[in-house]
Amino acid sequence: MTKADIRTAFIEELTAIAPDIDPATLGEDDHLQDDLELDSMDVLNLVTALHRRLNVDIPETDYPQIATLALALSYLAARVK
Amino acid sequence: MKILVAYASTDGQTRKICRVAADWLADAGHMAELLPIADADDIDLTRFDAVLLAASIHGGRYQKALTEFCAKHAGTLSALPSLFLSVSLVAAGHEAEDWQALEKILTDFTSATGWTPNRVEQVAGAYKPSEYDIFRRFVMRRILALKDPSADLSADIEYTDWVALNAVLSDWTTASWAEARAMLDMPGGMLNIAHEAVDRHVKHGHGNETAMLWLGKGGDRQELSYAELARQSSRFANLLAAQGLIPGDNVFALLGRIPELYIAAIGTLKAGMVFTPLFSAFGPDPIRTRMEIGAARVLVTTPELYKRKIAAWCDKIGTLKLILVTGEDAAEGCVALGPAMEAASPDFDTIPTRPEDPALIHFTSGTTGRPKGAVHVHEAVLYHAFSGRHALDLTPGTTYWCTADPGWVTGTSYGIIAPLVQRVKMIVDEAEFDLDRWYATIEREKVEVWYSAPTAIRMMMRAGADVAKPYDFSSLRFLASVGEPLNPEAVIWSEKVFGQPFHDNWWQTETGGIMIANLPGMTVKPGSMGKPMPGIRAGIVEHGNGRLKELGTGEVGELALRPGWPSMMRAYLNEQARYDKCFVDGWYLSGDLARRDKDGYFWFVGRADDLIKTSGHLVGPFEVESVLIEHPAVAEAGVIGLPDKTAGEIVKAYVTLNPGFTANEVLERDLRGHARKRLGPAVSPRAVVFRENLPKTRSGKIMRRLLKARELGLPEGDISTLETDEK
Repeated sequence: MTKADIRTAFIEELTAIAPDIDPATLGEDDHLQDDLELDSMDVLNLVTALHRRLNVDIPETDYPQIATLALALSYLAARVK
Repeated sequence: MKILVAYASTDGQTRKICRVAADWLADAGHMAELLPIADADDIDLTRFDAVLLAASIHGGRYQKALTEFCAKHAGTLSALPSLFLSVSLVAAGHEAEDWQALEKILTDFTSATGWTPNRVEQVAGAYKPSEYDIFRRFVMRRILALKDPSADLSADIEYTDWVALNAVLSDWTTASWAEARAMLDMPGGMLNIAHEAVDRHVKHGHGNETAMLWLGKGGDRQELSYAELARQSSRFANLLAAQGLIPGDNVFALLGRIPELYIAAIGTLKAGMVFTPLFSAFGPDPIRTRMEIGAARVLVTTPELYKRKIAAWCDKIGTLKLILVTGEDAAEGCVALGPAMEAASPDFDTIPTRPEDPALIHFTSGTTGRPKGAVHVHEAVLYHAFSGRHALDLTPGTTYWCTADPGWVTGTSYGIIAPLVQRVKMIVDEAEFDLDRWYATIEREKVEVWYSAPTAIRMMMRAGADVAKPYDFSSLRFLASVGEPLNPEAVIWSEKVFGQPFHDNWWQTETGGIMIANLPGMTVKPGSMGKPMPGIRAGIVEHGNGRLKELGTGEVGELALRPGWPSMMRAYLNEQARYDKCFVDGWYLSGDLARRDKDGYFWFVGRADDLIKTSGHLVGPFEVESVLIEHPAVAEAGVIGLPDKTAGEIVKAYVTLNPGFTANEVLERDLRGHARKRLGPAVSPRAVVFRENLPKTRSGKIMRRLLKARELGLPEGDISTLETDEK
């Protein structure tokens, strides 16, 4: 899976959970909670969706490492098989 | 007033009679705490106005227990206008020798304890409920005699004459909630929350103690002493006054957990104005509705929140006079808080508010119609002080962390007022839930008392006990939880991981403070919300024949409270009819269904109405439906809560579409996106499904109950009013 594929997957799952986010204006460093206004349930749902789609386990302690698009991409890229 | 009713006997009759006495005193509006004398031994008797003691004359060891108790506490008891009862379980026509025996016991008692109770009296108690009034009359006579020793004790008195009784009692001691009052200053009859929470401590020489340790998202730390909080809040009060605002004006805050929020809250109260916190994750719609209902005069917020959620419509709020934004620079039409605070004096004479002056408005959702603004008065601080001490074990110097958002009532009552009144060191974390950060905070700051919520606790559980292992939680001495029922597994888990169970408690925006709780030291029944607080009388009631009927052990009904405690709401803003509907036959109706077990513990069953409890927030379906039908595609919407193992419930919407729109995934997302933009994530539906028809009554009301029953595969119940069915 390429980095571009992961990026697509992440953005698709994110906007499925929070359709108020416009993928066109999504910034690399937008913080999921502070800037994009996800709440903790949204984050939980995102993690579940990413697990389903990419088969990557994201333990609770790692949530800060997927807090922005940029962080999430490098985190996921290192783990997706 | 507050009365301890303690019984030495463990036989059923004495206890039953004491229960009758306690209920009866509660019915008359007093606080009666009922305990076996063995449990009363360690209790602080000074917090009672009177003590009513009882033992059966037939049990020698009970007499002994009573005598020992009184000997031990003679000093304290002598200072109280105490009642002493020896309850003799006799019916009419009892043998004379028993009376003599009783008198001897009482004489012995006095010589053994060195304490002569105000009155030592025998009572012809009763076995049967029909005879309980004998006992009630007895108690009444005793109380009247305390006021007037020459009163004729044999005179018969109607025990239902509450007016006469209360006149005596209120005269006898003006100190109802005496213990809570004793915790406060109330200089010159003034009762102002801000004074009691902050300035009082400075006045008494505790200004250097830490009021708040703020932990910023980015790792900053900022300590605020009581003296500094006093000065800053005075600046804020001066700033408001300088802008021409006057006592009674409504000040709204839309802020996360940052120091300015706490300063604004205290400063507003100092200025005699009314403080309303709003949840900063609300979308523009809920914010605007609440500011309109609350006739907001001032809004305090951040530049980001202003730009994102306020700027577009704030000129439409006619009452709004001032918008303060944090930081050094302000957008057009706003005032920057930084320089304005700098320019204001740090000295302010707190407005001498009276106990019944409004202090806080907290919004809560209704099943129908707009949100309701529950008005709380300055007197509420008595209950905040009282419950902070007894339900959360807050004492001066305690390191305390309340994780609730100040936009909800918990975040104000127990995230600002109660802890400050008890002079604790508050930990305030700006960040949202973050597992490692939370565990590290407890360890590093040595948190002693922790008040959190089930959703967060369940998230910790998901992560597993191993993640918690590296941390040292030995500083924790009391854990409490509120928001929605805490499942038994979470209680057991927390005991394993933190060495302490989370103590669930129950209360509402309207009650202003914790009503039912698993108190420190009490045996926790996992899954139960605990027992009523001292001074609080709760019951399970059922409507029938236009009257309320109190139900017995194990029966499910509506959880109700006897009104009259200090933090009870005084009104729904401009909604007298909705307020009045909450009170029936001398009960406040909570809208929650519950049952009480044989040990007096209460268990949450569900909501009696359609309100949804999600992640600790109470969501009104009407508010969500209203936003959905504003979308051009939506004709009708029905919103319900569905069980969820992390959030308690999640919001789900059912919609029908207008002609020309097709149900598909794109539209589903569009609707959720629309709702999130308008309402914010906490309130918005997590799922939207399409229907051709929604189940409706003849009058066109959507039957949410039916949607939910079908979704959960539960019995549909009475569907006689169903006119159009779901398709």
